[in-house]
Amino acid sequence: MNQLARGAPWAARMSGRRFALLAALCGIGALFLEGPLEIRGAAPDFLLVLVVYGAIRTGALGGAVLGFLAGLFRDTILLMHFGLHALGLTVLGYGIGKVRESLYLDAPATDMALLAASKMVLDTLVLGVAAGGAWKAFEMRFFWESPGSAVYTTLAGAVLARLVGGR
Amino acid sequence: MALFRSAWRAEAVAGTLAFVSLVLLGLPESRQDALARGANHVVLLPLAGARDMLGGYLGLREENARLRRELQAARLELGATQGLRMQNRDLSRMLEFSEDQPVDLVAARVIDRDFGTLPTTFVIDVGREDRVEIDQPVVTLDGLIGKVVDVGRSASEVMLFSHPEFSASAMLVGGDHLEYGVVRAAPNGEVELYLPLRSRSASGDRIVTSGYGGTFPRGIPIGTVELGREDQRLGLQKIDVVRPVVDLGSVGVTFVLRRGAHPGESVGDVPRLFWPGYAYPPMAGETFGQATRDSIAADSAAGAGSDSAAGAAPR
Repeated sequence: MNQLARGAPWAARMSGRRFALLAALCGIGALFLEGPLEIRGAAPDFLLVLVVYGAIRTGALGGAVLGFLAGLFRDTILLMHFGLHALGLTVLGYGIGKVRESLYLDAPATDMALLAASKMVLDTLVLGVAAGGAWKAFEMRFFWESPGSAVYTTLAGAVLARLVGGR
Repeated sequence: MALFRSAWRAEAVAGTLAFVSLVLLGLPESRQDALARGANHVVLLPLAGARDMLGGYLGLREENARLRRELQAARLELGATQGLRMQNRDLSRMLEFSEDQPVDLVAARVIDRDFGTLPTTFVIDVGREDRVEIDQPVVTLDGLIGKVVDVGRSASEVMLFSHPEFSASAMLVGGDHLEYGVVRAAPNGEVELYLPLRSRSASGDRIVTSGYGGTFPRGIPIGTVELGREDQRLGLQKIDVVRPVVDLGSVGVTFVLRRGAHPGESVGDVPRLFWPGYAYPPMAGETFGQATRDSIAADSAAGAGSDSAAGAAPR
C-alpha cells in the first residue's frame, strides 16, 4: 500500500503557516534553549526535529534540502567541522523522506521512533568524526549522551507536534 | 528522460548536497573556520544582537531595581548615621553639661507625650527607682522644660511650662538690671512673664529661673522677651510674651535635677546653675547667689510667687 493509498501524513496536512511556526520554534530552540535544557550532556536537537518533520511533510527532495540548510545552520552555530551536520542531516532528510514515501505509517509512535533513530544515527556520524580516532572519547560520549539526547529529542518533537502540528 | 529526471531528482539533489557537504568538510581547517565565521556573522550576528539587546534590557531592569534597593539602603544608613552623629553630639554635650553642674542629675528619655498642638506633659523613663521625686525640675541642654508632678516606679510625668497650671519664679536679665517675676502659660499656649508695671524689660532680654520658690534653682534659662505689653484688665502689671529657649516638639532626652551636690541639700537650695552660654552681667547692688528675701520682695512686688503655685499670679 503506497503513500497515496494511505492518504497524506499529518505533517503534510499541516498548513504552511503552522509548519513555518514549527520551523521558527525549532530555530529558536536550537539557538536559545538547547544549552539551558542540557542535562548531563544530553540535550534536545530541535533542528533534527525540524528535518524529520520536514521530510515527513515534503518527502525525500524537501527533506534533503531542509536537512542541508539545517545542517549548515548547526555548523554555523558550532564553528567546527563545517559541513559535517550538513552532510548528516542531508542524508537523514533524504532517508526519512524516502521512508515517508514507502514504508511510513502515520502514527505518533512512528514519528517518535524516527526521531530517536535519527538522533542516534546523526550522533554516530558527528561524534565519530569529532572523535578523530579517539574511540574512548567516542564511546564515552555516544553511550552516555546519545541515548539521553535521543529520548530528549523525541520528547521535544512530540511536544512540538502536539502543540503546533495538532498531532 | 523526463521520467528519469522526475524519479531521480531527489536522489540527484540529495547527492549534490551531500557532495557539497563533503567538499566543505574536506576543506582545510582554516578555510572551514573562515567559512563558518562568515556564515555566523551573516546569519547569527543579527540574532545574537537581538538576544543581547533583549538580555541587556532585562539586565538593565534588574540592575535598575538592584540600584534602587542599594540607594534605599544607603539612604537609610545615611539617616541612621546622621541620627547617631546627632545623638553622639547631644550625649557629649549632656555629659559635659552634667559634669559642670553643682547638682545631682539623672538623664531621662521622653517615652510619651500628649499629642496636642503644643504638648503640656511628658512621660519620662525614670521614677522612684531612680530617686526621682515630685517637684524636681526637668531641663534639657537648652533650658527649663518643667517639673515632675507624678512619680511611678520607673516612669514619671512631667508638667511642661506650656501647661496652664505651670508657673515658675523668674528673673529677667536686662542689660544693666535684674527684675523678678513669674512665668506662666497663657490659655492660648503662649508663655508669659508677669512683671511689675515699672519694669524696664525689653525685647531680647533673657529670662531665667530666679531660684526663689524652692523648686527651681537659680539660673535655668526659660526664654527671651519677645514682646512687652501691659495687663489689659487691671493695668497693674506688665505681661511680656516669652519666646521659650526649648522647643518642646523636639525634646527627646532630658535631665531631672534630683538634689544638690551636698548631703541634705535639695535642688531648690542650690544658689546658682552654670548654664552654657549664659553669663550674667554684674549687677549693682546684687551678687548672685546672695540675694536676700527682702530684695526679692521688693523686686517682685507685682506678685511673683512661689514656683508652680497654681494661680500664684493674678490673671
